[in-house]
Amino acid sequence: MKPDPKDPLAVWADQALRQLPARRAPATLAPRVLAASARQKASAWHQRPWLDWPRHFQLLSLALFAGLVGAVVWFLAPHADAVSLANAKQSLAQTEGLRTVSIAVDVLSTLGSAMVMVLRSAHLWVIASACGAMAFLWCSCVGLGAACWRLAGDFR
Amino acid sequence: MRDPAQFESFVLAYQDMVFSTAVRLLGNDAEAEDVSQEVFVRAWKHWDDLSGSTTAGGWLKTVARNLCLNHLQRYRARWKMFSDLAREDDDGEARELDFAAPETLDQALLTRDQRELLEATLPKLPKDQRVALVLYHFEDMDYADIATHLGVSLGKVKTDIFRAREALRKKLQPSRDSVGV
Repeated sequence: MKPDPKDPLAVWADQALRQLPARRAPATLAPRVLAASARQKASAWHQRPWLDWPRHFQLLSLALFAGLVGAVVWFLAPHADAVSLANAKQSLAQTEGLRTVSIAVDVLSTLGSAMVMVLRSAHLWVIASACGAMAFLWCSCVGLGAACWRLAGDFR
Repeated sequence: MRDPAQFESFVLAYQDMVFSTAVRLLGNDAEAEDVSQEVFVRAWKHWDDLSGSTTAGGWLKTVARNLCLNHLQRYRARWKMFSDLAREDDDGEARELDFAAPETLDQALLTRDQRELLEATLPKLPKDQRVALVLYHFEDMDYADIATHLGVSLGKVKTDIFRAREALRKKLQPSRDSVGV
């Protein structure tokens, strides 16, 4: 951007900064880049992130995924009435290997019910105070993190 | 077919330009090297389009700038609230400029020592000032573009750039006096 010629400080700064030569890249940069590109070249397409897959594999995988979701929906739709939390819990409990999961579901639903009861019976100021305390603790954590970050930056 | 030797020549030809962009924006050599590596890895991904292109340099510069701004933004968003609270003199929001710029400033060429001093001063500027200054003078962006890219007000950008120029001028003033420029 060309500075305003009526602003001597801007013109001076522009002239001074444009005299700076390009900084030399560290000697390690080129070997790092070449190693990274060689690694990338050596890796098979399925080992790369999905966004880097060849276009036809991306389309194929999308079609497969859509087909899978469609099949699941088509299969479950007629049985939608039978699928409920109670039935799920019962069927889980009947399966020996999944008993732990059933217990976890019980514990979570009990905790949820307790939370709803507390929220219904507590006064508004209690809930507000609890939210305030949580916000304060969250801010303290972030503030402490920011202070550590700045200190670490100063020591670097 | 991708030719690694051709890519190596490409990296060697452009590495100083990419690294300069990154280090001036980030103010940190190690982070600038990481970002520069990422820029070239992306270039390798788009090598079929970039090899032989006359706009490859511009593409690299734009990607380097955007990656640096993303890098700065990532930390800026995380610590913004506390940084803003801590920096009382940095309230450039909606403040219009009314600075008395010096009447005249010498337009002489800088000596080698002065250039080194200037280069050493840039990373020491506060981050907001440095980024705005570099985007204006090295990346040829106007105030409005910088404000949009950084997500700050136009007034803050102008204030930051003015303060950065002032800091550079003050830093160079004694040496300019001493050499009689």
